[in-house]
Amino acid sequence: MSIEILLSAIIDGIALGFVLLMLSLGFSVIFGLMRIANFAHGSLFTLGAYLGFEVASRTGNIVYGLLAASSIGLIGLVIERFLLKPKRDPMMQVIITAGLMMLLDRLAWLRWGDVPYIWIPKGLEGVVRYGPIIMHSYRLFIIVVGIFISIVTYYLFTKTRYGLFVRAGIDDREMIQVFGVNIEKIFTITFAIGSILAGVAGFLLVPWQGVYPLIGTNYLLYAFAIVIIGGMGSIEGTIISSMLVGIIQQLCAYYVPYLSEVSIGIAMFLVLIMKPEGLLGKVIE
Amino acid sequence: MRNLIPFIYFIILMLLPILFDRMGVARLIAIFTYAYIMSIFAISFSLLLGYLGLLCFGQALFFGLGAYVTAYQLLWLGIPYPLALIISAITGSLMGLAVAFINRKVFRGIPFTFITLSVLLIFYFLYRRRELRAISGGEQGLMIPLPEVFRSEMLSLVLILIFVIMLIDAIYVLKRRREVYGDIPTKEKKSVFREILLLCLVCIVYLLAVAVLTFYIALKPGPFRASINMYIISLTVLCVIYILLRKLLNTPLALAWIAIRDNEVRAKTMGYNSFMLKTVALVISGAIASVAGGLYVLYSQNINPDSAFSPLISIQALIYSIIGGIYMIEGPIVGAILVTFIERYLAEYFGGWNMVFVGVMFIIVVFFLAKGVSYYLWVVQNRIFPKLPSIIRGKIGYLTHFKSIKSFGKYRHMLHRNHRAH
Amino acid sequence: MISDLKVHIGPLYILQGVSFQLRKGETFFLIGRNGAGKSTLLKTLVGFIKPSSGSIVFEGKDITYQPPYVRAKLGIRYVPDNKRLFASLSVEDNLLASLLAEGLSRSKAMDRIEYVYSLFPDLKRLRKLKASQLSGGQQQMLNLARAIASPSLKLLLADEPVEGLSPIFVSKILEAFSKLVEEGVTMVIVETMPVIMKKLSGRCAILNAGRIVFEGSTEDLLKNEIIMKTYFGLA
Repeated sequence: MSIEILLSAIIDGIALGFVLLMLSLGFSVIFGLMRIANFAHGSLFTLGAYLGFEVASRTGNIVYGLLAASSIGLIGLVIERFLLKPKRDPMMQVIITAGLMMLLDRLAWLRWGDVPYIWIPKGLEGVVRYGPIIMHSYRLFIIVVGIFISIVTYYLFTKTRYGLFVRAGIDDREMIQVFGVNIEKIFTITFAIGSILAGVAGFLLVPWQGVYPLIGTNYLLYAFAIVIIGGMGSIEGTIISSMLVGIIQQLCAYYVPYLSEVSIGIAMFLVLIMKPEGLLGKVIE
Repeated sequence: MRNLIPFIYFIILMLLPILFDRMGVARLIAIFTYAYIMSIFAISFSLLLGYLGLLCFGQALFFGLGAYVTAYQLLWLGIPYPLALIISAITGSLMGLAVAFINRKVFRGIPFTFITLSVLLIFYFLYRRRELRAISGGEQGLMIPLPEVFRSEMLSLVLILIFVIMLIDAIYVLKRRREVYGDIPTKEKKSVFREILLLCLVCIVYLLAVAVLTFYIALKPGPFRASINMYIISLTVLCVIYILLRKLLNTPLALAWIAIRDNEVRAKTMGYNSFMLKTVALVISGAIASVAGGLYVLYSQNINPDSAFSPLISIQALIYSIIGGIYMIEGPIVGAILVTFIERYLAEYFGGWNMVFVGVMFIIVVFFLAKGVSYYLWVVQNRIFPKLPSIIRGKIGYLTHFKSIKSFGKYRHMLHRNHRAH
Repeated sequence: MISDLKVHIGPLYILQGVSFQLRKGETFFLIGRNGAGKSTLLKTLVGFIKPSSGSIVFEGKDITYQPPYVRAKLGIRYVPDNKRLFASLSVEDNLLASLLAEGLSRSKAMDRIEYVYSLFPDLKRLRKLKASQLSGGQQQMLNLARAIASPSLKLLLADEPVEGLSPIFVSKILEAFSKLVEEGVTMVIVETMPVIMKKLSGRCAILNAGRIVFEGSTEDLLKNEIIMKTYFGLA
């Protein structure tokens, strides 16, 4: 067990953790605030990846790709406004998002087919050496972007008026209206932001894992585990548990492949049985 | 005589393979077989959702379990197929018990959905591990050869079983009516005579149909026989489950379920043990889903983790049930047949867009046809038939007697959820 | 400012035809046994519950079916009976949220918060603590403070504001109420104890099983022996 490989695995884990964080945070906040279990979140991840891929591979510019991926936010907006707003019953929302997931995944399959695509931006294909340690430069890029987005999101949720309303709304959705907040508008904005995060996360993963129609739904399963372990609606919990899951997943992939997915599944299960709110969470029916 | 309507549908379905073969679309046989199997699966899902309000995303768990357990029995234990199915059903019900136990603290709504999903995911992830290739078959999956009996031409005689069941049922209904209404006045004797005549007529038609089918199969080569026999078996099992469930849903148990669905707190204060009732539902649902899995194994002769435990399978059940209608037993059946047909048969005409269409259809149904296609078909049935000229109606009135809500079970009128929060 | 209310047959038949009028600046008490529908009435006035029939008119505007955030703009505030603070937010954030929600700028909000601190010095001391870490009395103070922080407060709906509080807190809250009365705020207070009514006079109504069975001034109520015995167990 060399230290270099261990460090490499951890770095990869952190990178994956950031991607998972972006995906899970959107899901967690949407659930915490709006009580919507958005099963279509994975599909937004997939579509963001594809859209970003299309733009980036044509322009050769990763920034444009990121911008394209963020346009998923618009799709999210439309979904929330027209499909979710009319029926606010929690069970119906799950059913609608599940159906939406199927629809969007199939659209993706129709347009892009089964073959995975991958695109790596120039200048980030290689590795970076730091002494004896070898790190893939693209994963470092993910970490950089991840940190940037995390800072922005952190600022958004803690320092802005909107963030305050969201946090208050997660605690008590009705009372915040008593003081004058139009909760429907907050819902729509939140859903859009969650969608943007999911789309960007999807695109960020393309140079590393590629993209295929079901990638988002696959990673959504991880997001479920993360959000359940960390706690639905708890922003801190989601951050911690996505990093944990990312690192564990990569460590397992490097060292003990047969444990990687199952361990997370078992962890999720144990948490659900013993402390359904999640380790730090606050929301349970 | 309303009891005869399913009989007639059944005869039609029974003879469909002959029609398909004559029309040159023999592959529709396989498609419909798959649809029947998925109907059974969808029924198990819809039972939980429609009657108890429980959205079970882990339904694939029972399906996959039933599939793999059946496979193990056939491959390694050499157990004959019918017995294997029964054992799988029992396994499924035990799993249902386990799931109920796991959920004992929060047995409703979204937590239930997530917990069942997570249990399913454990199995899914576990079975996907390369190390467990021996029992999961890896990505290719386990190959299960078709039992020899499926190549025989006599298998269709299994349909006699259905015939016997339905006959017993019809006679029982007649007898009960006699008990309830006392001795029949002379005026009525004529209509009773007519009814019995009709019954005999239908019986003869039925037996004829079975005979025709058997002859047809006997004329065909082995592989074709296998495919038709698979069709027949699936249809038979679907029918049996349909009949049994119909009976079940007429009991106070079903009413208790509906009570829990609509207002659990109130039901509990009225004395219903909601946990036990939900457990029973899970046990039954698990058994049915496992049977579907067991049938699937033989249909596709192959089972791998993705076709057994993938959450997407549960989603399929959701699609079938919602589109078809979750408040009636016919719902999932209609939904499964409709969606399967669109997904599998229309692919060559629409090149992929048919799949997308199903998704669009789903959204439309959710928003506009909340009770599912089958409900609206039923309404149409009820509205159209009374418009037939009354003379014809008088003569064959009892044949088209759809008017009463009781056609579909004693408590059906209570089944449709009141539109509250929707 | 008149609040003319006829809220009939609420959910599960809770409110069976309630109507009364409020005059601007008066204090109106709602008395009744548990389960009579007092909280439901307040919740309907706030907007959490939609009445099945009837109307609520506030300053000439019909707000019967308006969501709570519209009513907030008209100056209606609510102090719920189970505190319902934003548990994970700090004391100061709780106040800030309620003020920013109105649309105030941050600087004006901070001014108002200072004002609130002047009324409730304890809250100033606790400002950085998470709301869930306060004691019951302090939480109730915060609960009330959130509602009265608004500079455009016109109608305050308070559900059992002093329930379960020790006398110190009760007197602090009464102080705050008195100040509100001075400022001309109309108040609807749901109460089960006559203590408050002794200190703040006004009108009151008794709600029983969804209907108003008595309406009059507080003095009349306190002098009425039958009522005092039935509803408060006092002679």
